[in-house]
Amino acid sequence: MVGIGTPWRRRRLVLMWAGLLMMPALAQAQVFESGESLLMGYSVTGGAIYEAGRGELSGWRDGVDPTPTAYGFRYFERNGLISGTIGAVAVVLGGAMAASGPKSVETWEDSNYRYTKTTYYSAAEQAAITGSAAQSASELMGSPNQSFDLQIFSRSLGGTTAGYKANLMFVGIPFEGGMVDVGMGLGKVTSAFQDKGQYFVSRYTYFGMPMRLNLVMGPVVTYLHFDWNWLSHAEHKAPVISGASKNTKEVESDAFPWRLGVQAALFGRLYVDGAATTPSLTSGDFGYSGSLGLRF
Amino acid sequence: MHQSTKPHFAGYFLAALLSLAASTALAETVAGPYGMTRNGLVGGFFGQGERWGQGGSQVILFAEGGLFTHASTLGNLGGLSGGIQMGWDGVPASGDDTIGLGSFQFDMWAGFPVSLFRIGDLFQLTFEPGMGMSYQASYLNMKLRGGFAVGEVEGDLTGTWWPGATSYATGPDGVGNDATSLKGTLYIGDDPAFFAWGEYYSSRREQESFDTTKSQEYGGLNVFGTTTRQDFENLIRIGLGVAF
Repeated sequence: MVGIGTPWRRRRLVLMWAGLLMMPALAQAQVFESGESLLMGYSVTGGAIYEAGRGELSGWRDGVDPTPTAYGFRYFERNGLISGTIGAVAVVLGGAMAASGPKSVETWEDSNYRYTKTTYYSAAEQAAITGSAAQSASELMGSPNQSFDLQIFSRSLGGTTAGYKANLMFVGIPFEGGMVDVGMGLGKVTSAFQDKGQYFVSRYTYFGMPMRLNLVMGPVVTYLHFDWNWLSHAEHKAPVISGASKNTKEVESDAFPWRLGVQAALFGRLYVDGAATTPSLTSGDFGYSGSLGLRF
Repeated sequence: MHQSTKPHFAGYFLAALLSLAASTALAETVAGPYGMTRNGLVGGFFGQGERWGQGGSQVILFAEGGLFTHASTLGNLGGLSGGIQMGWDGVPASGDDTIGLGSFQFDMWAGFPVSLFRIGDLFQLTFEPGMGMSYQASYLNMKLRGGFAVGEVEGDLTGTWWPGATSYATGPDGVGNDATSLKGTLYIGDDPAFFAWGEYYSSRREQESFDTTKSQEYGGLNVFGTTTRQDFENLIRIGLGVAF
């Protein structure tokens, strides 16, 4: 028997109410928004994301057969200002730290004494540093084609995964029929799953440079996305067998993930995104992801 | 004679942030995220309540502002907001190792308001994810604000959630605040308007533990930790000031 409080029942109720609330808007809107508008216009999307298969979150490097499933919340802004503002604050913070820190520190010894001479920036140098930082920050904030993608995974929504992943695309380079996005990203996602009495824990940490090629194809935007994960260049850590009964295998997912996907806006307000994923081009492994959300 | 010439980091940071805010304010203003049309509030509030069960009061000055700078292809508005507050906090904090500034309190934050829904000049619903840093923790938060106008009276009702999982206390590792707030504001008059608000703020202290003896979920390995929460703060606040 399925009780009213089960996760599946709750999800169905949420979907049903969301559908009912959207009915008036859906009745008036056309089915597809143009891909050009989807890529080049400003919009904010909030919704759900799902990932499964042998993607970046799996234990693909260590031959772990079962794969994790991830349910989460996604907040996606296109051509807005979130990434630029976060970048601007970081630049201002860095400039302020540089200006208030020492210009040079010299240490020397003479007989029984050790001397330290600390030189600070002059007022003019400090003004130049903070002025330069403020200029860079303003340019970052004003970047016209920046985008922001935040994914938060929770086991409370179902699945086996918890954590977050954020891509801050500071720069978007538009061209006829498409755009290239470049930025910085970070994330930390942990999955724990079991199969036939064996337990598996997969950890994925990400800090690097995301790159994305977007191409408008009629009503949809296709994309090829690569997360150049700098942390995955470190030497791969061997699996660890742990747990009270020594039946838990912990693995690191040192992925350089690629995803090939398509996104579209239906009835104006509904955003759909589906992609095939691979943890590395040479892995031969594949997973998939999908997200569904409301656009504003 | 020794003369210190070491500059103050906080001063430079604040000056740079203010110049950034000023440059942002030059952007085209479409509407305001507060109430129906308001872009900024300057004032103070008095708070009364308890922390760890011990009662006290607080007096804080604050300034916050926001503006919609972008219009989406669907007609929604998005923008930027931010604020700063500081003052005297007399609610006892004895025994709390995340509050290390005595009676001085500060908080500064930035947010990204998006208008979800609007009915002419009568009502607008705004969602605002944000981030900040206070004397207790650095945090992410989410606000849902319903603004309205009835005749000459304008107002809004704002619910805010600071999720414990995104709160990192300035004290020990694994500690954060899971807090919620409900605030109702009325604006009276025009250019500038006077405002008055009332707020109920409640916070729970959240501790994330990775004690392997507490879980046998994954073959004896507690992967996701165990979260414990305790009642921390409950405050009622009343604010007054000028809105632009």
